[in-house]
Amino acid sequence: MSTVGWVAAVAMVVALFFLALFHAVIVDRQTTLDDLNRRLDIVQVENEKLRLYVARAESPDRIVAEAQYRLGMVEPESRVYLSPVKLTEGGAG
Amino acid sequence: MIISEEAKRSRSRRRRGAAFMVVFALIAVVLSVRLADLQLFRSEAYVEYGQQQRTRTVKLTADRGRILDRNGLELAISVPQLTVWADPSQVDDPAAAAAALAPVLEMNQGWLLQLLSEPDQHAYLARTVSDDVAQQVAALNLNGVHLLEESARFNPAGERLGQAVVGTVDVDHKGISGLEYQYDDLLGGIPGEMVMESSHDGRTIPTGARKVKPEEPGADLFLTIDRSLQFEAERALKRQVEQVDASSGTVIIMVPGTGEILAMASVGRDQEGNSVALNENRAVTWAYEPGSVMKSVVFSGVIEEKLGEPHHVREVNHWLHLYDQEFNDHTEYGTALYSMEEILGRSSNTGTVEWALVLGSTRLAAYQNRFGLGTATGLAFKGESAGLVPPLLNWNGTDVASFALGQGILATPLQVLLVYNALANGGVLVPPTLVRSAVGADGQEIALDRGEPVRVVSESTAAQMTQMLVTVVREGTGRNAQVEGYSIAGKTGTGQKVLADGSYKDSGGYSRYTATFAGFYPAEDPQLSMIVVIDDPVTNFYASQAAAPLFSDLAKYSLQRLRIAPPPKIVNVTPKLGPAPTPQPASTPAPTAEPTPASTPEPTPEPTPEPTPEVTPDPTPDDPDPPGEPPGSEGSEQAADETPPPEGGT
Repeated sequence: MSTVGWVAAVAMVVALFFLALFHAVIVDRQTTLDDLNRRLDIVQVENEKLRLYVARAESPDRIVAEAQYRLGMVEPESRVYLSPVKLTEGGAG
Repeated sequence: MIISEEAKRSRSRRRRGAAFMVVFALIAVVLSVRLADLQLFRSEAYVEYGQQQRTRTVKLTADRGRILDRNGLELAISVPQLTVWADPSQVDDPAAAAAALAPVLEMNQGWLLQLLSEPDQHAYLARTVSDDVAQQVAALNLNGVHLLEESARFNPAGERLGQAVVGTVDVDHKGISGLEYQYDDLLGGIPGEMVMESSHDGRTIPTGARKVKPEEPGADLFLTIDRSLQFEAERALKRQVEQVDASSGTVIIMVPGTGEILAMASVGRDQEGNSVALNENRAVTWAYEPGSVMKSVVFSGVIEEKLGEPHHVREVNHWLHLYDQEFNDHTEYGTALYSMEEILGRSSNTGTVEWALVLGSTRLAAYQNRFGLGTATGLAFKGESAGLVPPLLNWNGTDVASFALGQGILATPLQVLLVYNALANGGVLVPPTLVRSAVGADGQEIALDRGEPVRVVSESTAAQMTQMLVTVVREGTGRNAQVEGYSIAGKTGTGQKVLADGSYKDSGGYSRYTATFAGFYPAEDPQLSMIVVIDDPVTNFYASQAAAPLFSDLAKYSLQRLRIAPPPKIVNVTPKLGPAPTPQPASTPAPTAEPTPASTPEPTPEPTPEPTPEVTPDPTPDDPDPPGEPPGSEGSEQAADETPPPEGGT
């Protein structure tokens, strides 16, 4: 076999090797990508559940229930709202 | 001839070689034919078959949009939950599986056994279970029982907070009531699809074919509702419904200038008698006879048509006979000279009827129509009632009086409030809305249909009506709706309810009522409006007692919550209503009364068809003295009579 033939054969072998290596890298990356997507899905679900938890924790229903049943607070008999202006008889006041 | 052994063997080898060659040639031919068949003639089918084996189609479900209040607080959101399903063909022992699952899923064991024994390959056992339950099911490790991720809808602000407005979805995440139903197309989004090649263990084949049609998530819906105001409205309404032993109640709080609904609460009673927020949005689905709150329509018409002004005085008798019907006020005062403002302030039935006769049925019908009575509000809420105002042609001789007093016509609480919104807006009726905006997943706002504002009465008429309604609250039947430091404009209405047999009284002579208070505040610069309707109160059915105090409480809260300061201009609080009338003979004129303006025509009834009582709801629903009950009737607000004459301002 001539020198050119040998060089071509070696180049072919090297090319096939790198092609195989390239495919192996792609497969590995794809596996990593799949794993990341799965973890992303899990984290997104977890995030949505936490958002629900926070929204529930902030709800007026829960706050009132906590105040009444855990902290023992009671509703006032009546409420007094402070007013910046008091009407007086016969005109402005 | 002797053939050597060597020659024989050689010939035999050649024959075997030839035979092998032939066999190989035949095999080669067969293979070639088969190869040609596979590659040339049936290749497409086999390529497709191969693709089917490694191609997986994944449905990409679109996230349902959130429903948020006006401040971005979540009222309804979707969160993935796990659903328990089974492939009965894979279940080894259905009875044992049912026994193990029943306590975890809190389901009937027999029912589970039935599901697990079905011939199908798919049976839902429990949809969107909690995480704890899903973990317990997984721990059972039952063959044929699987978990599947599905979206579930939650109302994190409280499962019943604003439920009637927000609505609900079914197990398939489709809106079935309220705004969830009305805006299902916007909220639902469009599902997508992903086609990919994967190995037998589910791993994606790199460089394989991949087609993705992305899903379009649903839009977020920003409501006009204020969550805190909604919560307080429901809480206070529940308390009031229990306090007056009513069957239900409704509260609406709005911004009259924009038509935005800040709170819309519907409360009823459960089987144990506790007050609970209802799933039915009675603020728009329930039409009732509103009673005296409708007197504002009459006086708006009278002023707009320049038939009278608030200070114009008429001689009013506590009793009035019209065709075969009688109308009367709560107390027997004989005859008095009342200005229009006093008539409204005292909620005098006979005085209102006098002015309604001046206005006439044609014009009254026109103003009812202008104010939107008898037509849907444009909110387009599922199940919204248009109310009922009979066509003018069907009115009988007394209908003009009955309708003027808010009896014989039906209106939803929202329709009643819109009347007062129009007066608050200087005579312009702004269509109501529950949705502030819709924002797509791309962050772009989606245009929504909005109705156009309509002028109902002139600015001058609205201003005069506002002043009259301020007097109602400051000195008249609406005193319990006062808020210190603010001017409230509003009107009471105690309407008689039609009973199941079509009459207004039962066999014992008792009536049932609805108590309404509608108004807006601050009167000088109306920023909020509200209606409180208490249905069938028992312990105290007068609107001044059953509805007005709740109006006051919620008005105070809303003013504080929305940081609305009193306007710098303080209204004149000189008393407008005189002392309570002294009973006097009907023929005795009041000596000091302002004369009736010449421009005010006498209350001559318009020519109308003869009354037809059989088709008319009792046009004299007044019930001044029901047996065993405190006196009361539609329009006869007790506060006007039971409270002493006002001595001054608040």
